[in-house]
Amino acid sequence: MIRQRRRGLGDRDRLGPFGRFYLTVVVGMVLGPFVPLVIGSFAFRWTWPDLLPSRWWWEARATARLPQGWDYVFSPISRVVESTGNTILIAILVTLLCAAISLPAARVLAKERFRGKSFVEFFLLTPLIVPEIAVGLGILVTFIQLGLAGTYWGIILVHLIPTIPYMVRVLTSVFQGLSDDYEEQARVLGASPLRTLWHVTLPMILPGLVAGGLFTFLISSNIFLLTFFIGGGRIETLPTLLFSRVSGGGALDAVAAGVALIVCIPGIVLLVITERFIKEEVFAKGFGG
Amino acid sequence: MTRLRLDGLGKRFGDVDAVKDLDLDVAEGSLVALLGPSGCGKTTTLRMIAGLESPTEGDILFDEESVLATPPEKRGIGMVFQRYVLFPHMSVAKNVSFGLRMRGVDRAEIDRRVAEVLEVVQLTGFGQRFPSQLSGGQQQRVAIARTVITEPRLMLMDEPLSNLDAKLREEMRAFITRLQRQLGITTVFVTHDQVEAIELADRIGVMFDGELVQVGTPEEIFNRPRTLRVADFMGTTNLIRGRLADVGAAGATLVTDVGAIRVAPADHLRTGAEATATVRPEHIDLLPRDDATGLPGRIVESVYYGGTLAYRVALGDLVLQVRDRSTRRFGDGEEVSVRIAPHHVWVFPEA
Ligand SMILES: Nc1ncnc2c1ncn2[C@@H]1O[C@H](COP(=O)(O)OP(=O)(O)OP(=O)(O)O)[C@@H](O)[C@H]1O
Ligand SMILES: [Mg+2]
Repeated sequence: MIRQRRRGLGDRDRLGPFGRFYLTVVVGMVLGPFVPLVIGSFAFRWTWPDLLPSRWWWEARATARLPQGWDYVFSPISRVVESTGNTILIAILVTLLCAAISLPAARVLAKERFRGKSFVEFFLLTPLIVPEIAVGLGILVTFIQLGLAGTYWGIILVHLIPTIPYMVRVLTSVFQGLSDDYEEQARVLGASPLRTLWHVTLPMILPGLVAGGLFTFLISSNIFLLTFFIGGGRIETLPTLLFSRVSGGGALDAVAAGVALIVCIPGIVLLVITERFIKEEVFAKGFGG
Repeated sequence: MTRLRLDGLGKRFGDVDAVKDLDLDVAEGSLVALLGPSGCGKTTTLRMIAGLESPTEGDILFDEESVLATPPEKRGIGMVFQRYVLFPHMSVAKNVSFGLRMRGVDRAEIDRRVAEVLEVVQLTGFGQRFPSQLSGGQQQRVAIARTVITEPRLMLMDEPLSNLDAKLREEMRAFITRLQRQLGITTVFVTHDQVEAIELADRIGVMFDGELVQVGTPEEIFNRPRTLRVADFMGTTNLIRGRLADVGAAGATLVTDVGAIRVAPADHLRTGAEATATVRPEHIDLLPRDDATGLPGRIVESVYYGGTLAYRVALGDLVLQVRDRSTRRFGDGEEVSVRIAPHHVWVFPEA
């Protein structure tokens, strides 16, 4: 099956006229919103109804009283570098914890039958149903009492609330597609349960794990409301920083546009890395065959 | 070499008795085939021996020592699954060496033994390939190589040839026999194919509905089936009903609607009992009508069938299947004399 699929890959980039048009529209719709952001981040004065800025950032650089656009983004007072670090650190820890918690849960949900299973499945989805603001307000009170408000661990814990349902869902379907035979074969060949997990199960579910991890990372690095409540201004991440820029300045100015672009970077980098990884490392070796 | 003994082994899944009160003794270095139709509990039995399923009753003994408390990885067995279950993320060499790596064997030794065993299964040079780049037969040989490389005390094979085409299956059968004899590994081989069982096994255990109905050499199972069902499963197609008479030291006579058939002596024969006799198609002789030693019959149909002639012969209302290897040919409608040697008639008293 795999071999046939590979043979067909040579035809992949042959698109018909409709395919070409469709692709252009999709790319335009995805990338379009970024265009004003990019232009705006380089602008000094850009007012309606001008199509392009009347004055650019570098033209005003010598005379401007305030640092503009990218100057501001890279200066320490903007806290952009600090928040980027926070965002990535938190997202990595959330992803690892989320995977560690979801793996056993997904495995049980996929392989075992027990009383109340459908209730557990429903319960796991409830964080996606209950509004974040309700969850955030409720948890804030408890976290203040526990001393978790305004701490990294507090933020990491609340980030697990909306991410675990995704991870469990993804991994459950991955485990459902993984026949028990492989693990049993490993056991018979002399591998303990732990070594079976490490040498057989984990490598085999890796594509699913990577996909789930990617989701988790992106969700975590985009959470605003929960971070805002629990971080309480003490810990700034990119979404909370962007919010403070936009709400403070009102309109989208050059600084906010710059920050908004920076906010996109972790996700884009991660996407590129994992996409390459999934294609080359995993599928090249005949996964799912 | 290990002797395997199953003692009253049983497994219930909910209210399904997958395996019932199974006793089996597998001698050191021998190959026993578990033969039976789909769903009769063959895989379940094998999985219990491997430790992948825990029995609800009975005991499993390796060299007279119970292994029930031993987890699968500590039982020192090898198992080849119905589907080969090669690890898709590992090369052939890594698949084959998996068991050795789990046992902490050092690298030089692993490389040496992998090369050795790949040569045995005729896959030298395939070490760096991935399973998806192999044919079915090659994958199967990798699965076998992966199992034998650990020198298991006991080898379990679950219909390992069922996914192969006929020609490859025959080659692999010969290959497994050679390998098993050469290495002398005690083996339990599961199959639903009687030809495969007869060809491979030292002894065959026939299973129906979770029960081991008969254990014996292929010859015994083939020629002296214990029940009608075993006879039927082993490919006997001729059933002749009648009543037993003249039971004595010289045998007995089965009196049927189409005439009297002599039966070889056996303990279970009782004068006056209703009985069903079975005769294999190849054990019936057809002679020209002028020979008076047989029963009168008439050829209904003849088909040339791979080196033999397959006839349907009518004796009154009874139609028998006959396979004749002789060069003589009878035409359709021809009157013949049907002779059945007493030692080829196997009689089951009516329940
Ligand atoms: N995990 C299980 N849960 C419930 N019932 C099971 C389970 N495994 C097997 N069974 C039942 O036990 C019986 C024996 O199954 P088993 O797989 O041992 O048959 P088999 O002889 O290997 O058949 P086949 O030739 O089709 O592989 C079947 O009726 C099957 O439905
Ligand atoms: Mg089976």
